[in-house]
Amino acid sequence: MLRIIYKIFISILLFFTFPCNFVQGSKLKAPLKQLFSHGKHANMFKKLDLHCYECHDFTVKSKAPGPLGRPVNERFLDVPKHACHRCHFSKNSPPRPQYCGTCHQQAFQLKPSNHLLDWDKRHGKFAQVQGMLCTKCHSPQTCDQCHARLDLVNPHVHPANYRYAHSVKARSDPQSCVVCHKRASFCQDCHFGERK
Amino acid sequence: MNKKYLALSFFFFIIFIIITTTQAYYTSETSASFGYYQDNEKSSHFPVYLYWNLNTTSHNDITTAVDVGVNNDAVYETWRFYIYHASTTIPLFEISKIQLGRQFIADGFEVGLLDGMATYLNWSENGGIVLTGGALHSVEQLSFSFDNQLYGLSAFQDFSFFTGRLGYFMNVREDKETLHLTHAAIAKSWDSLFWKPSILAKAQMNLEERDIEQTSADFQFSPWSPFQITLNFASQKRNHLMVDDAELIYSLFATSAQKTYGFSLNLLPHETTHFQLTSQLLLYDSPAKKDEEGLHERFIASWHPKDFFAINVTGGYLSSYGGHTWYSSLDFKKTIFRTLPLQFEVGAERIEKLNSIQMWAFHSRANILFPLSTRLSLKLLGEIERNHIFDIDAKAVVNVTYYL
Repeated sequence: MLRIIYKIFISILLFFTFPCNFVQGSKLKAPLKQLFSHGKHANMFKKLDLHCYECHDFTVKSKAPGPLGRPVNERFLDVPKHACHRCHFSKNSPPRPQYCGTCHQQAFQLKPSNHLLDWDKRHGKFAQVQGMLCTKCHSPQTCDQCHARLDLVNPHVHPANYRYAHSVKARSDPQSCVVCHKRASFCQDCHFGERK
Repeated sequence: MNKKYLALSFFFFIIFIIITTTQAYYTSETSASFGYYQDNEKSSHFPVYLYWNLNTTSHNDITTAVDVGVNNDAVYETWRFYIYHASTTIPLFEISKIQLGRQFIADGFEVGLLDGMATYLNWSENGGIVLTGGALHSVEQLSFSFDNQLYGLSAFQDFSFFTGRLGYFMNVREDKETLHLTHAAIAKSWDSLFWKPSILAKAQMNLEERDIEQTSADFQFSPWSPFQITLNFASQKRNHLMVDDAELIYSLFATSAQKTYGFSLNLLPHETTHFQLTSQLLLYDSPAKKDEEGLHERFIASWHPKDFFAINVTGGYLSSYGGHTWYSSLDFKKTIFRTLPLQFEVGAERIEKLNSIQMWAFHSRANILFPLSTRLSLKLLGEIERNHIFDIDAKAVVNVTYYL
């Protein structure tokens, strides 16, 4: 415990020396007009029965003066900031964080501020309380990749060489094992020689 | 009985396929991985993993989500079909819905797969009730089973000053007494306050024994702009809701609740740079040694200037009654030739185990993704490990993914 307190103290001292200019946010890779193609979306809009007014707001009154003023200023035809997300971030297109980079520069910066490097250890308790927030960015199958699939070819959870030191981890944090490995036979497969 | 459920699942699977042909919108991801390795008896193995992921939306807003897999390597190297997720969601009154089928649940302290129904009755965007009913399932279960049933009700509301959640679960299991558990949680972030504190606290109580089963708390704050500090605590007894033998596995190690004290110090001097020091102390009583403790300390330095350019350096120490490990790794991600994302990792680990095995373990792995078209991608992965059993343990994997 003393070692932990010592490390905290040293780390805080070190951190005082760094500047504080941390900002969050992400810009689009190009203006929206260049990123979006009406032609490529035409078929999908037809399928989903979407009309022009679903994205473009025609209800705004023009402030152009005089009887010859245009009924609606062209700039009002610009779509609202989050119009793309109405489809691409909804049940019509289950959200997949890896697609954010299609339009956004440095899309990884769109992560919420609590998604720090140890988020894999902390996310569970938040998902159990505020699960509706997770679904804003993650599809229903996101959890399956780590929590349901037992994939020995593409392991999502354990690092390389894990099986040779897993006993150290298991004795350190037995609760973490049983989150996924629920059958005693999983241990027996190796420890009683079924798997080599 | 199992054959009946298997036939039933096959029927639903066919229904899903029919549904997809009549949907307004659907996305699909099919992925196949296959590789080769030799075990320590020089026998050759050719694992094959095939996944199919499907999301559909009909004109009347009924959505379907399917995630299934076929592989020959999960447990006994025989071909098996797994349903990880297969649910249909029917909207109710615009903001409410019923979700039927196999689905992932994360509520209270529960996390896992449920074969059944979850009804979300929302009275606003920020509040509602979740009614859950069905059988708990683990992916290691190879057949449908309704031996472990879970029924619950959970109410949540996002007030202007905090988010609250209150719930109840009843667990009905063959050969065991019915469990009645209640749980409560609060979460709040004060982004406008100077320290930007954020807190989450929750607890689960066994109503019959009037005993606290599990508690968890997480407190994060930023005393100065580039720093974030996280303190967390958890006390977890054996989770009686777990399917199969999970309780047994935990009882092999522990006879008491496991208490976890965590600390994390983060420095974010720039939007692309992140340093993190975490420390975790874990305490519990074990059958072999009365008081056991685990200690896990880790340092990560991460530099992530672009979407496909990142360098992470990790070092850590883990100790328990089982032994000690010191590990380090370097992870590098970059796009080469403008379009090919390459990921490379190299690491070394010193392991000293209770059974007197002392060794160095090394690993190196790399993968490269070839986007062959907008819908088709090919990923090649190679991995080499060296440890006390294998001089060279190599694995090569080819992964083909098709998006629809």
